[in-house]
Amino acid sequence: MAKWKGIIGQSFSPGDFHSYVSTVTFDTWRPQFVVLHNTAVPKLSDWHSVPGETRMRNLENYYRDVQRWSAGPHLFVADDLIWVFTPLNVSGVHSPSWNSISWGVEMVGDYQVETFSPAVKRNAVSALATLHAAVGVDPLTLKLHKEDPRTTHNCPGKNVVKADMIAQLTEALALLHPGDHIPGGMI
Amino acid sequence: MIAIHEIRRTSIPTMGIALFFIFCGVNPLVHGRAVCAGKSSSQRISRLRAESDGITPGALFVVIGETECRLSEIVLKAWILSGGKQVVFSTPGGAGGYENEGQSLHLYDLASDSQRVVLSEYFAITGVLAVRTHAGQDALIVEMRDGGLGASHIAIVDPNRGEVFVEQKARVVSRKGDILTLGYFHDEEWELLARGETVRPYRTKSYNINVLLKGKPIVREPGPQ
Repeated sequence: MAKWKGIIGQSFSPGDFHSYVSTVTFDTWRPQFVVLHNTAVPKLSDWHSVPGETRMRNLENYYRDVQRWSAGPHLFVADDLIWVFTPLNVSGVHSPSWNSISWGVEMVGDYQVETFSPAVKRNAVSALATLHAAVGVDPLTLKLHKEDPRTTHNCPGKNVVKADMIAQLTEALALLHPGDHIPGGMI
Repeated sequence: MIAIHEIRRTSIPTMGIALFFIFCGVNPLVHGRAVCAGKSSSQRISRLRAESDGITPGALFVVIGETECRLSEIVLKAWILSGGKQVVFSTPGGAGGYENEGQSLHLYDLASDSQRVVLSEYFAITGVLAVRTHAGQDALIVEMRDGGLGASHIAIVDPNRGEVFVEQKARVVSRKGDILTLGYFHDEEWELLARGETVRPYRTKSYNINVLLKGKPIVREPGPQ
């Protein structure tokens, strides 16, 4: 059986997640892009029926003992918190063609049938902005799981629109790093 | 059950009920009710027509002679077996799995005009091969794949009893008569295989299909997530 890489299992507000990521060093593994997913099960409407810490333990058991994978996705983004699952500086398991070169970000919900929660979307955009800034990745490289030619299912669901996510991510990155330039200004 | 080609011969209220089933996505076929009734035992399914792209489910039609019957509303993939006497088809709604990707496999028998679930798994079904062993036993070799690691998984289905064997993270490397040989790969090698690279399995193991068919039926339960 593959050696399990372990989990972090901690949750953060978007601001705290930014601070957390700034403490992570990417000297052994560095992703090239992010793959966006939705959990499908549990749905967002079910997520809070189980405490988050229990969810993390259940998911660890599931990926390690049922799937027999070495890891799972990196983040689970809910409507209240961002949960770090697989450590961000090791490769995860989430998308067949891109596991060795990408972060996997799961948004909690089934967005084939559920309305894309504004709170999940807001937290996901914030988390994506933090990740893209941390390793200097272009937002245009963002991929959806269903774009992987080797995936088996429609993930994330139709209610997640890639162009919209990239536009909001680009906007969030600009706010995160406004830079020194003052538009129209002169030194 | 009223098949589409029969609607024109039915009354308006009956037609309304049939259209309700069809357009509301309700499948009145799954409980063994007739779908292609009235066919003689000598007839065969010659062709399938699926409205699915393999990822998004759609209706499945079977062509028998000059007529077409609507077999199910939510089919992903389908295969003709036994020279057209049977059809197996996959549907969403298996035993959960990664991002709920698990699927079920249904067996439709033309002679009895009935269908039943023969496998419900954690994975997506990518291929089905019907074999008859030298002992005269029928078996289905079912190839599956997950959408996370991208690994293959192999199941053996007894058409009468259901899934009796499953091996995760393995693929068929050969079959000679009743002997099925599976190859095993390291986790990181599945990504190389996904890219079309040639990878030799680190281990192979051979199984006698007759022995596998003696296994107890396997019932997969969705795990807590």
